[in-house]
Amino acid sequence: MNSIDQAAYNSPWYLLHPAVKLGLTLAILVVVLALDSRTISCLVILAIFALLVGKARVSWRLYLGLMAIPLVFLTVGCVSVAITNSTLSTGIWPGVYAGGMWWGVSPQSLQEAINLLLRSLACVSAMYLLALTTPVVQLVYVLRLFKLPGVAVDLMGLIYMNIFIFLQTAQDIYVAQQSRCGYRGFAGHLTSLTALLSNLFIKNLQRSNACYDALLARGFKGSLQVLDEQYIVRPLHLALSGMFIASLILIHSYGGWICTLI
Amino acid sequence: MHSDLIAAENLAYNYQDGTRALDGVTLSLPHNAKAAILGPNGAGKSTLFLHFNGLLRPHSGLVYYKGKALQYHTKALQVLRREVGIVFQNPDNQLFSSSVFQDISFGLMNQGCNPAEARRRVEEVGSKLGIEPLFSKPTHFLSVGQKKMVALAGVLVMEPELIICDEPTAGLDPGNAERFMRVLDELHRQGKAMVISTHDVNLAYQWADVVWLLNKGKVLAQGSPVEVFSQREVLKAARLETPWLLETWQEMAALGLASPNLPPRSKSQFRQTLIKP
Ligand SMILES: Nc1ncnc2c1ncn2[C@@H]1O[C@H](COP(=O)(O)OP(=O)(O)OP(=O)(O)O)[C@@H](O)[C@H]1O
Ligand SMILES: [Mg+2]
Repeated sequence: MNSIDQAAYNSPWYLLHPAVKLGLTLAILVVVLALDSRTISCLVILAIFALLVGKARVSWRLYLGLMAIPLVFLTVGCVSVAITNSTLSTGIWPGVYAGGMWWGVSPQSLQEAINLLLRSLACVSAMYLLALTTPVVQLVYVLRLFKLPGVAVDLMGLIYMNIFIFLQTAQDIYVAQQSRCGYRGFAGHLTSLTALLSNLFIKNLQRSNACYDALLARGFKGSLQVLDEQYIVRPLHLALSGMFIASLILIHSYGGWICTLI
Repeated sequence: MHSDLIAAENLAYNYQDGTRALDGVTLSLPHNAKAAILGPNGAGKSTLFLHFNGLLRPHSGLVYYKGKALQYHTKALQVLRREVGIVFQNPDNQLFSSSVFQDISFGLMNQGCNPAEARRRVEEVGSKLGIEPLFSKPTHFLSVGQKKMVALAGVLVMEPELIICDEPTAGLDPGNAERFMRVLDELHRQGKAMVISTHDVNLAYQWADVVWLLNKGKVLAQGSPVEVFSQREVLKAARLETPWLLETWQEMAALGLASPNLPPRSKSQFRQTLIKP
């Protein structure tokens, strides 16, 4: 979570308008899901990889690492799709007989599993395209643009911010305990951990009281009014995004020969 | 007392656990004055500050702002907090937004400042404090000193009539501390009043117009820096040292090496008091 957040804040696309970035992501998701084509999914995965690593200066190590996490889950999920059963042993490999059925992988089920895997990976890529270039504050800003109730949006921002503080507090307590020989042996683990949890609770309660006082001191009247960042909207970006989506659809409709390659 | 900007009269405050944090505090700050409050840890400095903009309500005694006793209903408090800004000792308690820029703009927007003007002021204060490079960083990845600078900026932009800073320079590098003090002085020239708490006797001696010494919830001394820091017994009780400038001058004056008339407040004044043999 930290590394994604940090990448987003350091992204060269940080100041591009978040609504554009969100829009492109949603469009890619819709196209990938609606067209349901291996070619398109592959193109999207490759294009986003090239875009993020080549243009948005995301390190390829970080990106591959981030992709590896969902890949594990997706592979496990797709294996269960690939395995099928039939009353006939033809077309099923390796064909294990159990419970009156032949179990194994058939060409169709394999294709389905691969389709599913690629489609999911394409969607994950699209989400990373957003997450690695757009900090959560900016998404919250878009929600406000779309007239979501102010309280909900404020809460989202605060909760997001507090997740980091919560993690940081827990981490600080943990380090402090370890540096003074906490977590020794089984009993030590238990006492240290209970101390950590109860203190985490107390500390955060106290912190939130202090935070509220500080908000009041600066004139808080029930809604968190702040200046929004000035975002950049470039016609070129809109045009390129549109062209990307259009070309995906065109390739899908007329580029049958490319499909045969994959 | 009623002609002062802010005054405390016989303030007493107990925390829920019974700790008597303030015990009959009577103090006052003239208009456009710079005050420094000193005292050992736990003396009650932060607690006193929370009384100055109505975040805590005294159990007995009164706080006066511009001659009127504070009222504790929401409307009055909102008006008060527009004029009395407070920077908290722990910046983590103050920063609520994950965007530095947005956090600094918060108080301004609450004052009803228009966005274009607010943007200009945030950028101006940012450049004076030298923190523009942090604008695009999230507050949760800043170092402690950087957070402190952002928290200070968040109150300085509001340009309150009275600026209260709880240990503003603690944890800052000398360059940042100086930059911050320079902005404070600039606001002082514009007619604002300010109170800082500090453990740095030299800073208090050279910078402040008024010094308050607090210990165990009680005022030990208040007055001009020279008056307060000349009282050795009182300093000892508050576990403070004499500022080096004053002490050096006193010793040199006793030896006849410096003119004994006016205690120097700065290095250059000190040079002028020296008697050339
Ligand atoms: N929330 C609280 N609950 C109970 N006691 C408190 C609370 N906050 C402060 N105190 C106590 O009140 C007294 C005054 O604390 P205060 O924070 O005002 O001191 P301070 O002068 O600001 O000290 P420092 O120089 O360490 O910041 C201390 O004895 C402290 O233990
Ligand atoms: Mg304090």
